[in-house]
Amino acid sequence: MAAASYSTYLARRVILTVVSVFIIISFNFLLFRVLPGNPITLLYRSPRLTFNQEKALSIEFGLNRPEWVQYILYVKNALEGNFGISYYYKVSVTSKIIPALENSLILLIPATIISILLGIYTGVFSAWRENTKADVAVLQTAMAFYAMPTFWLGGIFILIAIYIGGIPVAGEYSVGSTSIINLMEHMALPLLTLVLVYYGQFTIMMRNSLRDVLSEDYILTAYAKGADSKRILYSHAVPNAMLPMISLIAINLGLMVTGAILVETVFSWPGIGYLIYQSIGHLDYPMLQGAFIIVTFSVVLANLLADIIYGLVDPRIRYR
Amino acid sequence: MISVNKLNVSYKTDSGVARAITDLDMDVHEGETMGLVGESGSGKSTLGLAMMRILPKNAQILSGSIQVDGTDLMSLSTGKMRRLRGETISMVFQGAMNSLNPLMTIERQVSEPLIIHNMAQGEDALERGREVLRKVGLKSAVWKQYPHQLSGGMKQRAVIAMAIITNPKILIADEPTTGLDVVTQMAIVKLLKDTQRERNITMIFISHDLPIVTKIADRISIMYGGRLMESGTTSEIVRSPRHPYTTKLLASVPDVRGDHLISGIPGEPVSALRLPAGCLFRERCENALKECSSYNYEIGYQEKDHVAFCINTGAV
Ligand SMILES: Nc1ncnc2c1ncn2[C@@H]1O[C@H](COP(=O)(O)OP(=O)(O)OP(=O)(O)O)[C@@H](O)[C@H]1O
Ligand SMILES: [Mg+2]
Repeated sequence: MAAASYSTYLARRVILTVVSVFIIISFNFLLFRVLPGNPITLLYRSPRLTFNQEKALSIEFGLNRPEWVQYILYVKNALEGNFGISYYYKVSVTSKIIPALENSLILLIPATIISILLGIYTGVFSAWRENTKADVAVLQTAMAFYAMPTFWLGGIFILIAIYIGGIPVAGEYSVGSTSIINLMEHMALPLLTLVLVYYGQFTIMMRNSLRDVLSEDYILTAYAKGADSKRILYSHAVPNAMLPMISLIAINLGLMVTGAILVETVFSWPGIGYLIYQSIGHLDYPMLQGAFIIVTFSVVLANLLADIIYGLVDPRIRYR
Repeated sequence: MISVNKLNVSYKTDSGVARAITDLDMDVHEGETMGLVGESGSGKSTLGLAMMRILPKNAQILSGSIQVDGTDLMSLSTGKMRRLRGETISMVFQGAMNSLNPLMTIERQVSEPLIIHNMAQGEDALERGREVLRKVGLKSAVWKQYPHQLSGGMKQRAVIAMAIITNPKILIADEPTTGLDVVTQMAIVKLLKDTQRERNITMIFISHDLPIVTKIADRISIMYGGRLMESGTTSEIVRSPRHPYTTKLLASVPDVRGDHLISGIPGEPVSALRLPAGCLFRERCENALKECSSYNYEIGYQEKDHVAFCINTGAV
């Protein structure tokens, strides 16, 4: 029956997600082992570990056990969110990653939502006025922002903010403050940078998707019914044009993460991107590994979410 | 009822201007079914779209007029024209396969014209939608389904239901049988014929397939290269065709899919981008004379309503 086929679809997506998670963990395990050098010395960056120190570490990390036991231990630890001890901070990687992830999400979720909404709005505006001056202007603006290097645009905003004065350009809160107003002031510039750099791709996607839909036969049917432009757009064209957007948005979430690294670095925003940037400087391998796994997981989960939404809105998937 | 006068329509394309319709005259009387027949590219759909005033952006009505009940459609404001669309004049489009919104249930799409024209709202509109769906032969199981769950014939029925729900005076059916199997074709023709009789609709039935058109039309107009070749009652066209092109069409049989003529007419239809001077059909015509290359579309044969645009009508 109809409902059963949606659960089949969902089950298939969930299995795929679980498989992806295992592949990511396994890839991380392998990567760690194919890197030149001994994992212990790699981990501790010192080629001059004494034999006894190295042996103690081997036992701690289970490296004296057979490879498959190591693998199972690794997977078990990863699934429990245990990525070892940070070389630099000397605390568990997880205890650093969790707050950083929270800070990233505080910035990334509104940035993503605003850029998608702005992209959809400008895309609809453009497609409806295809090949007019307004269309070209909206499209070129979107492409110009999209083409700007993130750190460059962020840098320009910092310069302007310093020139004007009063707008914070670094960090999440002023020292000693925890007020939401203070947070929002700090968020303004990184958020603006992310939105400007990201909305353009959604504009272009939405414009092209909607333009294709507007030439579909069922749009002509809607005209023939006597529908006005508002009904044509919002009852018929936009919902259909949104379908390809959902999967494109999911694909682009991965790109958002790279952008986050750049923006967080430029604005010293204490998120996971800034943490990755700093850990590269510190050669903090456990931290980097943990951060990469978390980031990859987030993208995989976002994709699962997109698949679930897609299935809910497209009857061709819901009732197959 | 409908009166088309010296209509000229062209499309701007990358490779030049396509003359889709040239100097077309056509009268359709109230309550009759006019069959519009011609090969691919002869301008049939263009005429339908022009009557609805929903031609694509690159199309241009160069001259001429289309009158419905004495009102010139070209002179109506966009708002007034929109109110006619779907209420007074409905159209069933070529390719019903893609004429339905994939994200809307059948009953919602079918009842939408009532809502647009403020004839009913909400559950009331849906109820009337179901009533029409039942009338065109779609059972309750499909009412809440989505287009992809329906067969081609069922979609065609749904599209017809959508077009007649407002009780329009005029129905333009563009290739409603193309792409359907023969049994379904006959069922759709019967449905349209019954509906037309029952509601006294003035219908324009467009098709490649002259034999099918003879089953439903009271009168038939034959088009070629955007021009009218011959027009007359169905029995005149079938029994005493005057234009060589009509004779050829009568001898042709459409292929299984119904969108190409086989055992058909040798040669290719003229291109709207490069219409030759003189008679458009002369290069494919067995009866062509020297004078045909300077033919200027004076009426070649007329007997009451039966007209043919050919100088060699006697040879047929
Ligand atoms: N959107 C368009 N842009 C450019 N040229 C067009 C367009 N639509 C139709 N034409 C041209 O206008 C002419 C008439 O086309 P039309 O679709 O009206 O023919 P038709 O008789 O309906 O053909 P068919 O049987 O294939 O549906 C053709 O030469 C066609 O190439
Ligand atoms: Mg056509």
